[in-house]
Amino acid sequence: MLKCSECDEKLYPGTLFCNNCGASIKSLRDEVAVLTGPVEVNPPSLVGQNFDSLMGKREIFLMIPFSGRSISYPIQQHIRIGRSSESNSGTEPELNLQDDAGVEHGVSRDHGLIRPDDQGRGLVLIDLDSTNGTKLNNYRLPPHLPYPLNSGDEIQFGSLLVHVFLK
Amino acid sequence: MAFTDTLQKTKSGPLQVSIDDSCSQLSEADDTQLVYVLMTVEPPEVENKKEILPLNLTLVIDRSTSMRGSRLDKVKTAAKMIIEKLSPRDHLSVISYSDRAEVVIPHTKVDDRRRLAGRINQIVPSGGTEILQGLKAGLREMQSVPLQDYVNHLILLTDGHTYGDSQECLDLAQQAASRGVGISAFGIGDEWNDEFLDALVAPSGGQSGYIAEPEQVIHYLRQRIQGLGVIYAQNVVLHEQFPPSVQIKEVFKLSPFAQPIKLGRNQMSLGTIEGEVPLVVLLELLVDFKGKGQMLGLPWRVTAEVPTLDTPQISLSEVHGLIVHGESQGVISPVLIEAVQILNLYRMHEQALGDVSRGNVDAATKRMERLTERFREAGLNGLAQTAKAQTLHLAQTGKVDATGRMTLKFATRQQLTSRLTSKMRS
Repeated sequence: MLKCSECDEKLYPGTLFCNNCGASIKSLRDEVAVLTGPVEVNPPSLVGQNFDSLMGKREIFLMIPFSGRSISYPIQQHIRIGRSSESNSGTEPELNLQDDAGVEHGVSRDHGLIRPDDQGRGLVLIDLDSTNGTKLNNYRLPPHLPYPLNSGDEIQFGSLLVHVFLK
Repeated sequence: MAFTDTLQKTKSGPLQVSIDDSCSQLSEADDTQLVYVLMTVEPPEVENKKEILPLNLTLVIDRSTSMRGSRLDKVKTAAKMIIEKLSPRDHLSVISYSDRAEVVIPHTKVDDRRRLAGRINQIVPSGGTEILQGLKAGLREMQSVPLQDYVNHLILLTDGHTYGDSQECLDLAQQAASRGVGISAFGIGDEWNDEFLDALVAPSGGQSGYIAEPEQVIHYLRQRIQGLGVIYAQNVVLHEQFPPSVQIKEVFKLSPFAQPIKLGRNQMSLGTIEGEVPLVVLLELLVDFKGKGQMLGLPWRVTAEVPTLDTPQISLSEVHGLIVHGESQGVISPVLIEAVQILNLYRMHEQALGDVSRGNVDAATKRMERLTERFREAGLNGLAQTAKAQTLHLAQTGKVDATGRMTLKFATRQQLTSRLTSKMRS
C-alpha cells in the first residue's frame, strides 16, 4: 500500500488523489498540470446549435416580474439594457430599468445588450462589463462575450429578473 | 513506472470508442493497484444524416400540496414550453399525481398545441406524494404505441419523499429500462430523496437533477428535451468480461451529464448519446498485477441501438491492454487527471455526509474544511464558498443544511461535465 504524504491514509498504488484528504499523490504535481487557478463557470449553452430558430418570430418580449412590466421589441432591434433618469445625461437605453428599482437591484447605466447574432442564427445577450454582472439562467456571464438567448430564458441584470419570450 | 498505448480508437463504424488509462503511474510492485480508465463513446464524424426517431415523451408531475404556488406554476409553464418545442411527429402524455394519479393528457400526437396547453392549466395541487402511482400511470400511457419506433422517455418531477413504495418504484424503473424506456427525474426544493432519484434513473442511464428554485424548472427541462430531441444512440450498454484479477470499484458517467452508474452483473447501462456530444465514463479498477512487462487484457463490448441505421442494433468489442513496463514513461492525460480530481472532491462530500449520518460530526467538519480548501486549490471558488458555509453550519448545529448539501452535490456533478467538456475541446 501507499501512504498519503499529508494525512497518512493508506491508498492503493496508482491512486491519483487521496480519497481521505484530497491531496494529489506522488510527483503528479511536477509531471502534469493539476487543475489550479481561477476557473470560470461556463453557461451550459455556448455552442452555436443552441439557438432557437428565429423563423416565424417577429418580436421579443421582455417581462419584469418585479414591476409587472412587459415590453416588446422588433426581433432585429439592438436592445441596450441599463438605466437613465433625467438627472443623468446620455441617450436612454432601449430597456430603461430606472423605474424597475434598477438602482436597488444593482443595474449599471450601460449594463447589457441584446441583439441578433452576427450570422443571423438567433439572438445573443452580452454583458457590458456591468458592476454587478449579468446572469443567464443563473450562470454569470463573462463580460463582452455574446451568449445565445432563447425563448423562456431568464436573465438577471444585477439582481433584477427579466424573462425572455420570442413570438 | 509504466507505459501503455494510451489511446486506442476504433476508427470507423457507427460508434467510435476510445480508451485512455492511468497505467503510466503504476509501479511494478506485486500489489493490488488502482487504475483509472476513461472510456469515450461517440458518433462518427461524418454522421448518417437520416431523420432521427420521434420522441415518445411522458411527463409525470407531482401535484402534492407542497407544490402549491410558484413550484406548480413554474412546472406548468415548463410543461407548456415543452408542448411548444415538440414536433408534430412527437407523442406526449402528461400525468399528475399526489397519492393517486390522473391522466392530464392521454397519450397523443402533438397536434393541437393550444388544447394540450389548456389541459395543463387544469392541474391543481392537493394530497401527498406517492411516486409509484405517477410512474405506473405514466408508463401505461407511454405504451400506447410500439416502443421500438420511438425514443421513449419519462420525466418525473417531484418535491417530496415518497412513502413505502420506493422499492416498487425501482422495480418498475428496471422493467421500463429493459423495454427501452429511459427515465429522468428532477427534484424541486430540498426535501426530496436524492439517493432514491439516482437509483430510479440508474437502470436506464438517465439523468437526475436538483432544481433549487422554481424559476429554474424551465431551464432544466429545456436542456433535457434538447438532449432527447437529438438522440443518436440509445440503450448504450457496456459489457465487461474482465479477468478475475480485475475488479471494478466504481463507475461514473461524466458526459453528456454527470451521473453515478450502477454496476450490474457484467454490464452497466450508460444511457444515450445525444447529438455529437460524446458519452464519457470513468471506471476505477482494482488490478492485481504480477509485475514488470505483463500485459493484462480487458475485453469489453458495447451494445447500442442506433435508430438511423438499417440494422439499428449494434455491438462493438475489443480488448484493451494494460501494460506495466516498470520504467518511467509517459504521462497521464490531463483530461483523465482532472476528471479524477473533481470526482474525488465529489466523493469527499459524500463521505462527510456519511460521517454525519454515523453521528461523527467532528470528522465530518474536518473533512468539510479540507474539502473547502481543495475546492479553492482547484479554482472552484463557488463550490469552495458553498462548502465553507456548509462547514460552519455543521460546526454550529451538528446538522447538514439541506440546501447546501443538494447544491454541493449537484453543482460538483455539473463541474465534472463542464470542466471535462472544455478540456476535451482544447
